[in-house]
Amino acid sequence: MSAAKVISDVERSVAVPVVSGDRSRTRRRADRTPGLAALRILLAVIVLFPVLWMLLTALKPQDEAISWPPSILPQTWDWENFGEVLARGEFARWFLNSAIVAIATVLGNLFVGIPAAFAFARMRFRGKNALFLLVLASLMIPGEVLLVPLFVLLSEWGWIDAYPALIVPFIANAFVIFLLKQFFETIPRELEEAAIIDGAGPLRVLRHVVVPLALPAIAVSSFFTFLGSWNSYLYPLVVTRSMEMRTVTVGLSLFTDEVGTDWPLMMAASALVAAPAIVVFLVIERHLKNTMAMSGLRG
Amino acid sequence: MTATVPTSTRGVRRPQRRTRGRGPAAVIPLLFLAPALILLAVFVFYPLASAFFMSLTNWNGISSNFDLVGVANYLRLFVDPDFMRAAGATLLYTALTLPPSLVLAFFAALAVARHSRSSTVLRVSMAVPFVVSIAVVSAVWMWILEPNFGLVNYLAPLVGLPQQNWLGDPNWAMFAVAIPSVWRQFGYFMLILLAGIHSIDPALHEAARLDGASSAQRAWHVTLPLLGPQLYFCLVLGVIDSFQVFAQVHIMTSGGPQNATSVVVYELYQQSFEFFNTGYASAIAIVLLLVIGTVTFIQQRWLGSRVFYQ
Repeated sequence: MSAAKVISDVERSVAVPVVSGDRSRTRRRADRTPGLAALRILLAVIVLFPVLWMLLTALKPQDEAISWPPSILPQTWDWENFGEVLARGEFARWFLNSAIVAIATVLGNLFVGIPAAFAFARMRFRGKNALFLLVLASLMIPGEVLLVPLFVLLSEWGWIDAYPALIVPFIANAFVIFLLKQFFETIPRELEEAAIIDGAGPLRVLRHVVVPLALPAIAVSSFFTFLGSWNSYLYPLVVTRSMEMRTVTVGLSLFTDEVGTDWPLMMAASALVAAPAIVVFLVIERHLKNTMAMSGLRG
Repeated sequence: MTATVPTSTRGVRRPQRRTRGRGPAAVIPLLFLAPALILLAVFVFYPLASAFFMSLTNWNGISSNFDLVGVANYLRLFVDPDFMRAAGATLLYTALTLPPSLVLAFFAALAVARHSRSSTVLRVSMAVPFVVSIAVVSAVWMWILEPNFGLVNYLAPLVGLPQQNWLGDPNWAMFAVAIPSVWRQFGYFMLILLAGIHSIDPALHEAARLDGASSAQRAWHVTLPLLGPQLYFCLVLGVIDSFQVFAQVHIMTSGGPQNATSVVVYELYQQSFEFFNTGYASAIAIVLLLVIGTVTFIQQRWLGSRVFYQ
């Protein structure tokens, strides 16, 4: 690799704006050094190789997938694998479960997180700092620590193996509250004051002034909530029991046993699980980097 | 994180005029906060207190009676060979995943630091692995590492490695589990380092170049030291994540072979949901909390607000 060229890139790089969505600067300049550009594309292919290998295997018939030496491209493109996965066992149901849980968790987070963030960002009240510290403190507690007592609590309520157990405990997320609060504070106060003079109460200010202006931050926090829910593994493994209530990530590992060594089907199932997260990521990617840097936190 | 707490209201005392804020208007902030605070209390703080209490008992998670055993569960941890082995396995996993991820992330960040079409493609590609579920990542790498038809065993002889059952050999299983983890996390570290690189004053690189420093020298003597806070931040995040590793192990090896990959959270999971040693499992959870809390605390003390709030 031409280290000199890579590093000359660095030295000419400029500081990016701190607030999300650096659309102000045109980032996608054409490459002036074709060799370096080709090298980067090659690296991208290497990094993505496991994903590509998953897709290529998913498109092979069973006998071809286990042929030796392995073939790179499928000799016969077998699109049937995807249909077979969806028809097989409970896979479609698991997929639906994950979608319901992820979407409900995102909506719940916005419903609970936006007002809380607004109160922390804009209202004055006694004990604000202490309460905010408490919210932040909840971020530092690893989920595994809460697993056993949460399981016991949900058992007492009869929530085990039901949707509420997968959704309700994740509706209040300190990361979302924190991220939105940071963003709300960047919105000029004058806009709110104008609305208040026109007779708007706090709810109207929130709905008609703050939320429309904060859509990028709302999108980014929704993305993290979605990702966390869609990809979570240990928690749904513990609180679901019946085949019908499994989420798709847990179902995937059960799928291994069920189909034994049918790797093309397994890879097709994996691709179906990975697809929603990758698609949502590609849609939101340009807003992501700086918002993450701004918060220094993860979902 | 504490650096973000606003301090503007501190010291503003208005004992007399407080009354003006009472009445209906004073309730509004609490109404806005109530759903979040109640949910956090029920699903975070109550379970936390509950975990601490359970750790002082010999409860089995099912029976209605149990004894308070004090710190016995904690003392048992230190003489339990299974737990000590799990702690060692977790440290081994951390050592196998974190340094390669950081080195890869540093070079990756250098490679995409300048804005161009190809660097955007590479940056987005490197971020894809960490949005893919660990369950998917594990399944894909199980296929690549599969002993009979897997790609790794096809390529291994070409680079002088023996063909073998990577996930089934106690000496290799942890390496095999570490590979997908590195693949999944380095792109995330890369994004953090990239933000750091972009905040470096270009004049510093310019000055070094005028002094005759080569590009490799500038990367080593200018970029790397100035990325100190970001590297440290990644290190702390990486340690915290590694100490919580579970899904890869559960899916790829089930803690085996011969317990070679049985990490702390896997041990916790087995103790609580397979062996029903709820009290003992809670003690493991509290120790995990204390260790991770200590790492976070050290990060706060050493870094303060320097990382992301310039």
